[in-house]
Amino acid sequence: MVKSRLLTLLAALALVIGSLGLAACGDDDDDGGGSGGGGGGGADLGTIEEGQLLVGTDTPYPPFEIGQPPEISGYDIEVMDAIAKDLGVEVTYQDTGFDTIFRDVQQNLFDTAAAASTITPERQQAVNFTDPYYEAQQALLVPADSDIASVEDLGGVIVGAQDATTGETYGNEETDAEEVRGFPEGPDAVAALVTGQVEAVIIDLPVAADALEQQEGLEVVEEIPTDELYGFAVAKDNTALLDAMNQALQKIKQDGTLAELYQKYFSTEPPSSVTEGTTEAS
Amino acid sequence: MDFIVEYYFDFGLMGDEFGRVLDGFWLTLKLSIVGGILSLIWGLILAVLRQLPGRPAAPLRWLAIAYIDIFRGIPFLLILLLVSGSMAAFQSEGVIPRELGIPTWFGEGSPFWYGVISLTITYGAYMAEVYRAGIEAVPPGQTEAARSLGMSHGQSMRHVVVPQAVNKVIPPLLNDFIALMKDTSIVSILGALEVVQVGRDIQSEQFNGSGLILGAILFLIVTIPLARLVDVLIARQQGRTQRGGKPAPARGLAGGASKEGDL
Amino acid sequence: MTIDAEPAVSENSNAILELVKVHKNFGSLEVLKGIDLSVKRGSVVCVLGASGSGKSTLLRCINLLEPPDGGQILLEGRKLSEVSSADDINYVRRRVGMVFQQFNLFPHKSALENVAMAQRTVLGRSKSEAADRSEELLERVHLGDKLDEFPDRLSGGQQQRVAIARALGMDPHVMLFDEVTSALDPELVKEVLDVMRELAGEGMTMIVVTHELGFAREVADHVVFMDEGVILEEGPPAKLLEDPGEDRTKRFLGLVLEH
Repeated sequence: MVKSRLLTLLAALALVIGSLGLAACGDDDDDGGGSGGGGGGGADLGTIEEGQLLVGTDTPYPPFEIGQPPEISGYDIEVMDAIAKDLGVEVTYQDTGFDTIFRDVQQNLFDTAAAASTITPERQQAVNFTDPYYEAQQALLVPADSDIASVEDLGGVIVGAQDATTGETYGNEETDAEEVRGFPEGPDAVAALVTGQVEAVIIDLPVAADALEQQEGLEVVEEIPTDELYGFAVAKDNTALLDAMNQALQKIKQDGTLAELYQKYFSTEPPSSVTEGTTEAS
Repeated sequence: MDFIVEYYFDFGLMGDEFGRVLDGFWLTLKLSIVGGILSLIWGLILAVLRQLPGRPAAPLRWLAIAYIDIFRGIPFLLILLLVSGSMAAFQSEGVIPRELGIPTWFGEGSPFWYGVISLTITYGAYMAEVYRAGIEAVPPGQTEAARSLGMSHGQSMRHVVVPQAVNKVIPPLLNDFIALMKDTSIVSILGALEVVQVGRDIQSEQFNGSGLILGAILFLIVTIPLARLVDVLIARQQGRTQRGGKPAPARGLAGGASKEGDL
Repeated sequence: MTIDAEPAVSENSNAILELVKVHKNFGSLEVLKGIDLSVKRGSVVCVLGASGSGKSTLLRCINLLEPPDGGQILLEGRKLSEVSSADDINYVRRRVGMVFQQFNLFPHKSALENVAMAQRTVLGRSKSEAADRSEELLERVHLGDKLDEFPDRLSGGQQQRVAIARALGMDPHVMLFDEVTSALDPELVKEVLDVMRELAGEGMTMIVVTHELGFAREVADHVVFMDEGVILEEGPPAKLLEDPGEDRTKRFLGLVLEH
């Protein structure tokens, strides 16, 4: 008799805690990252939820993505916030794995992705990209006392990179590296470099520069000019959103917002490939 | 529905990438076999330590119990990250030599050995409990007979108790091995190119998940026959009992441990 | 407590085994409340009593499976310490063999292996030496044709005879039998008792806990009746079994005879 009453009490308690938990989760989701737009979103943007922009991202990847939603920041985030403001929508960021992010956009799990993503023909088979908002180079990051001076010296070396990035592809296709080891997050590759599990890392130059600031005993021995352009991924069938985002991007390029952010994060002017670049939809 | 078939069951792609997925599965098998054998040995050692009689052996017993509790109580992923991180850190601080801190023995990279070490540390603890159940299921009369004949504790364990215990617990040990084999996929987080990671790489390159399904099929080719073997062994043991000969296996041993389930 | 036999004295050179005021407790339960017993070399002592009287515990104290909590045990003149040390345990177990009610054969070994194992591991005999000796012993218990059989293929009586051979393999000076026929089907009891009879005839010192009164009458030199942790009566079988002094003894025997 007592036992069944106890069970009922426990079940009720579980229900209460469960629904409180769900409510709390719901609240978190509503917390936007950067500046959300004011009321009434723009014309039908084809977003998953009207007036809301759900952005997939892969954090941490400083200086492009720093911290965790909802307190997430970084270059990508600030540019996206500016676009969202112009579009008059609220923006929400969600962390996910980089190796599935384009598929997720393709399948409309997100409206768009802001994840330091290089525009490549392979990726363009799955998603569209906005006009470029950043030009990237890869960097070869090694310990300060290393004998490696350039990518030519990578024969027989164990190189680290992030899974599914252009740095990983470069290591596999353009160097004689013994092994290119893929890590789930960029900073994991740097950590492996610091402890000596890999002897070099190929990663986006600003990320390498950030690593130099955070970590002693590393150096960038080569800037690999790959002239990659970053864009925000958008699902192929959502031309409305693509056009709207490109328009907003154009505006912030023209009114100096983008240049300001470029200075803030990279201490340099945006190159013409960015300010004047457009992406051909494929 | 069409999308699912195209995305996950593209047999053409499976054919194209078969060699690569098989290479990954070969690594999976290597991790499983090396880690599995070492776990079986380490688990037995732990179980024997746990059963040592007498006052002087008490610290060893307590250490074994603490070890088993700790490594059955933490997720395998955590142990893997701690092992790899600390070993690499110790060698970079000079506490241990590089050959030990970043092991690349027999041509396998450090993620492989971190994986093997972590699997052994973890599954040794699970298997120790399985062995213990087996040892405790051996009738006390066996030990009494052995001791009465003048055998020491060590001799009676070695010749009488442990052989009978191990024989009883082969099914749950096999179940633990299957769990271990599945957990090798977690070593991908250190960059090991085991079969699941290969599937993920294919997915991110080609936007198609068929590599994952192919990996799953390869797993099942091994795990399903193993599971049937477990069933056969259990049935054979129970058959013996009904003929009235050997003692029955202890209850509750047929279910193996997994990192999630058994706490 | 009535004592018919001579008092236990350590100078008695004929006594191979002596128990002096042996006590044993299990927790708060007193199972042996002061046992005095003297066993002459070459004699057969049968121990009778109801279950719970402490007879099994008595045997298990003698071979130190249960270390006694009080009193003395002297084996061949050597005083065994109250708190059993490893030396004492080895000393005892190489001189005292035990056969159990549940046989306790090693199921994963053949009959020959069962008999040979301890000879090799404890006595250090070579494989061939142990095998030869084991074959001899198994023939002695009339199981020469079952050397390679595993216990699950042997009848209860056969298993128990293997168990006897196994204990004999250690060349003991004293053999303890703990109700060794109680778990056997009636038709198998005789073959085991016959082996025990033969063993007695060869001069082995035996302490036999049993309900087999016929065996006790024919084979025992001395019979002991235990009740509630003490030896109530002891004496030659002819006397104790036909005309016991104590009422309790009479009642027990009456009860047993009725079966």
